[in-house]
Formats: sequence, structure tokens, C-alpha cells
Amino acid sequence: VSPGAALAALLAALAACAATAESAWGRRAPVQARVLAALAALALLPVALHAEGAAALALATGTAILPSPLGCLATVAACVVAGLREAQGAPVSAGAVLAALAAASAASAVSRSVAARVAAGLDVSWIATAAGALASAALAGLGGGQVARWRFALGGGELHAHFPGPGLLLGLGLLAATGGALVLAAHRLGPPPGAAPSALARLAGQRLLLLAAGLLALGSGFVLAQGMDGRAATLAAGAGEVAGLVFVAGLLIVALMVHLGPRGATQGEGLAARETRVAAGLAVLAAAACGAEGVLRSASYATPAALAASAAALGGLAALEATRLTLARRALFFGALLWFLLA
Amino acid sequence: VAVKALGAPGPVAVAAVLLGAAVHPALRLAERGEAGAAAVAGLAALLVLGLVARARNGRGKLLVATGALGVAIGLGYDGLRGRSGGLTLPPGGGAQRFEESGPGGRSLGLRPLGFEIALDDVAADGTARLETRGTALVVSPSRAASVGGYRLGSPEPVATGDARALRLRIEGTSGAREVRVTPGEEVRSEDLSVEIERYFPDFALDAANEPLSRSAEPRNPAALLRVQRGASLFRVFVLKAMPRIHRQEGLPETFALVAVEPEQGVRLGVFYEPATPVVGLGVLLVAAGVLLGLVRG
Repeated sequence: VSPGAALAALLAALAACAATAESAWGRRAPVQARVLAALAALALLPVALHAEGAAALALATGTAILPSPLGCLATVAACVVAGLREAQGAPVSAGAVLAALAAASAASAVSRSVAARVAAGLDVSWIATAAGALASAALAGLGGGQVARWRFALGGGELHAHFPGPGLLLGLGLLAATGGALVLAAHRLGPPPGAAPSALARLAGQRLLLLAAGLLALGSGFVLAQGMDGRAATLAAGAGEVAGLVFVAGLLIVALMVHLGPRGATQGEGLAARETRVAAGLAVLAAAACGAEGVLRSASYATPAALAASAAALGGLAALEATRLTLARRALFFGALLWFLLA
Repeated sequence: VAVKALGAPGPVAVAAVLLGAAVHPALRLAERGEAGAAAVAGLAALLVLGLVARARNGRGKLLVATGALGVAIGLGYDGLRGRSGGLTLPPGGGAQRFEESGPGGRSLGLRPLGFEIALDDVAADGTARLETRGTALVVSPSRAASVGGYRLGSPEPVATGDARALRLRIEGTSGAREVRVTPGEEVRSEDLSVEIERYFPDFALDAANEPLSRSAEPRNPAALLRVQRGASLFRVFVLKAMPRIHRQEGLPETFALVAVEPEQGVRLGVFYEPATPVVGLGVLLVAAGVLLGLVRG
């Protein structure tokens, strides 16, 4: 694993904390997040000559310009992929670099939209509930889709390998995340109109999600540790899934920080709309670049990368529309970009 | 009225999300037969109609609609008139036709290329040196090439089932030595002459105990050798997985198959997508239209 990518992942994780916990880091938290993301970008320079390294560098640079918790988490995940796939040395892709810049802008727009809704009175327990539900869905699908059976596997064919210890931890994490999300949802939906929600249910939900975040972080760490012990090729093949685990663990932690911490100031929806437009424009350009790279490298524009970038660009067009479910559409757009970068 | 309704933000957003999900490689709806391709085409038509319906509402929207229309026309043209498939070339061999495939990878049979193409050499990573119309051509995993309107790319080495050479270890009273034997050639080693009679890349025995090869891949290579010393002729069987299993009566030496240099051809992707510039220009117009919204709010 590249030391530069590992250091960059650590710096980006700190930047995510700074961008989330403004009260703990003081009024200058966004500046600190920006500086940490810029340092992460500098640490990524040694791996910037291959595809994943260049994308992670672009994402870190974009996050340094538009610091946001989601952008920092996406940078951590991109650093994991860059570090694990360094040896493969795929050529730098302009499409991936543009998509990474788009992801930084989209992440900032989603983070800003969430902050604006919280400032407008949205119950923060819904954010933790959504993060718990997303973690459950991700855990159910990642690692061969067998986490519910206490098994976690990466790679296909000759590279296929089981990780028994992390399988147990992640299975427990799946139970805790699902339980936490359900209890928090019940806490909001359960009581009749006019009645106060149960404080006990809220506390139980928080603690279950906290447990899930810890188990996911531990499980991801064990996957990395066991994989680096002679199974580097398997780790490289499943780098996207490991990065997805790290992202989901970070998302749970960030959601809990928002849930438990005091509210920060928000700069409103207007800026989020402009960031979404920038991200959508960059995503369309990324699709064009991926198509051109497909023609030059693989003889056709209809490559899996171009299709994934096109799907993200269509998500961007949907996010631009002035209609209902704005936050959900922006989150979907960001998710499609993240999928493209990590897959 | 119906077309105008399609141009409202809600239907456009829904059509874009559904089309994005349909083309995403995780779902691959367009590759699931003709019904999947028709669903993708229908969603694309709905989205383009919606974007065109509101093209008068500003320059940005006009650019987006024009670009989307261009992309749809280009993709539709390539879908109807374009061609794609694969071409397998053995070493030194040529071809004038490729295997065309349709939606979902369904084979549509052989289609003429309009020119002849031959394989000169293929590297381990699939990089192929080709010859066509008297000119040399290189296609690598990171670089495609154009010939006669077709694009050739994504080369993959494929085993032909034959061996370019076998490396044998011969152990006798005077010590051990290695020899490299190529098919059809008699190799001399001290007073022995060795020749390959039959090669099995993936050796197995059938129900009647007859030797056969299960595949063209060198998974379990074996060979039947013709060994001659003076006037005496021996047939020696060597299996890479089990060295020295057979001792030949009257022959003091033992033989082991150490390594196989498999003969490799190449499989190339063949694409004819004449509307590529229209699609590219359309996507750039969409991007310009989206970004123009930043300037014009």
C-alpha cells in the first residue's frame, strides 16, 4: 500500500471531522478542513501518475476548494482505492479526474442541502436513520453479499478469498446498523400526534449506530490488515468494496457527529444549487471524456466506464430540475459519481 | 399538451433517473435482449422529448435539448447501422470476416470486413502486431486502431491448443540436461533424437481410456514424444503435473515436461460506429448548456 495514499487517507479523515464538527474545531473549522484536504492532495502527488491516484488527487483538490464532510469521506475512500491499486498502474483517465471534481462539488451541495434542512428544523435523527439504512444496504451487498451469513469475501476467480474474522465483525455491524436505523425510525414515527418521542428509543438507536460505526471501522481495518498479509492482489481486485466499507463507516460516524453535536451555521440552498450545476456540467464532460477514451483505447465509446459516467451525468441532469425530492436527487447523483470512482 | 407535460421538471427528472439506472453497468438493461434495448430507447425518447419541449425557455435549455437530440440520433444511428463483434486470429493467420454480435451478445454470424487482416505476433499482455493492406498495425490494451472504417481494440491473447515449444528435462547416467523442442522438428541431445508426436494442453482420459484435451488452455499439459537412439524407437509420455511417471523399458533416461510455451492467437473487438462524432458533439453541447445556466442563473 502506498504510504502517500495512506497518509492522504488519514488527513482526509481528519478533514472530514473538521468539516463536520465545527463546534469542536472552532469557527475556523472550514479553513482547517480545507488545509487538511490540501495536505492530503500533496501527499497524493507520488501516486498521481496512475488512474486511481489522479482521481483521488482531483477529489482531494476539489474538497480543498469546497470542503464538506461527504467530500472528505469520498476522498478517504478514493485514497483507499488509490493505495490498493497502485501496483496495477492503469493510465490516467481524464474522465475519472473530471468525475472526481464533479464528486467534490456534488458532495458539497449535498452537505450544504442537509445543513440547510437541519437549520430549517429537520430532525437530525432522520440523518442518522438514513446513514444507518444506507450502511445496512451497503453491508448486505458488499463482500460477496454474504455478510448476513457472517462471511466476507473479495475478488473473483483465482483471486477469490474469504476473510472470516472481518466477516463476523461486519455481520454484527449489519445487525447493529439495521437495528439502530429501525429503532431511530420507530422513535420518530411511533408516537401518536402530539405525544413526545421516546428518549429511551432515541438513546438505544444512537448507541446501536455508534456500535455499528465501531464494528465497521474495525472490520474494514481487519480486512486491510489480513489482505496485506499476502493477499495484495485480492485486495486490489476488491479495492472498491473495501473503500465502500470505509466510506460507509465514515458516513455513520459523521451522521452521529451531526446527530449528537450542536448545529453549525449554514450558507443556504442557493450555493448548493450552483454547486450541483457545476457538478452536473463536470459529470457530462466526464462522460464525454470517458467516451473519447473508450474510442481511443478500447475501440468503442460504449465501455463500462463511459456507461457509468453517463449514468452519473443523467443523475446530474435529474438533480438540476426544480421539483420535489431535491436532496434525494442530489444524494443519488453523488452516489452515482462515487460508484463510478470506486468501482 | 402531452409533449409539453413531458417538459415539466418532474417528468424530466424521473426520465433522467430511470434512464441513468437503465444504462448503468450494474443493471445493463440494454444488454438484456431486445426488450431491454427497447426500454432504454423508450426512456431516452421520453427524456429527449421533454428536453426539446422546453427548449424555448432559454439558451442553456436550447443547448441541452439540441445536444441530447444529437446524442439520441447518433446512438440510434449506431444502434441501427453500426456493427460490433469479435475477431480471432491465429498466429500467422488472416481473416476477412468477423463474428458480429447483437443485443445481449447474441451471435449474428460472420460479416465481411472489406479487407484482409493477419496476425504477425502477439505479446503476453495481448498487444498484437497486425498487417493489413500492406501496412503494419499495432493494437494494445491501451490503444485501439482504425482500419477501413472499423475500430479494432481490446486485444486478448487466446490459446490455440498447440504449443510453440516444450522444455524437457532429460535425466540419464551422465547427468541431467534440458532441451527445447518445437513441434515438427527433431532435436538431438547427445545420442538421442527427440520429436513431439502429440501435444495435449489439458490432458485427460475419456471413458475408453483414450487420451484427449479438455480445452485449448495449457491447464494440464502433456505430450507424447518420439525418442530415437540409433535404430531403437521409443514412445515416451510426459505429463507436467507428474514428472517421471513413466519409465520406458530399454531407455535408461527419464523425461519430464518442465515448461510449455503455448502458441497464442489474439481475439480483437471490432466496432463500426459511424455516428461517434455526432454523439461526442451532442454530449459537449449538453455540458455547455448545463454550465451556461451558471452564467444565466
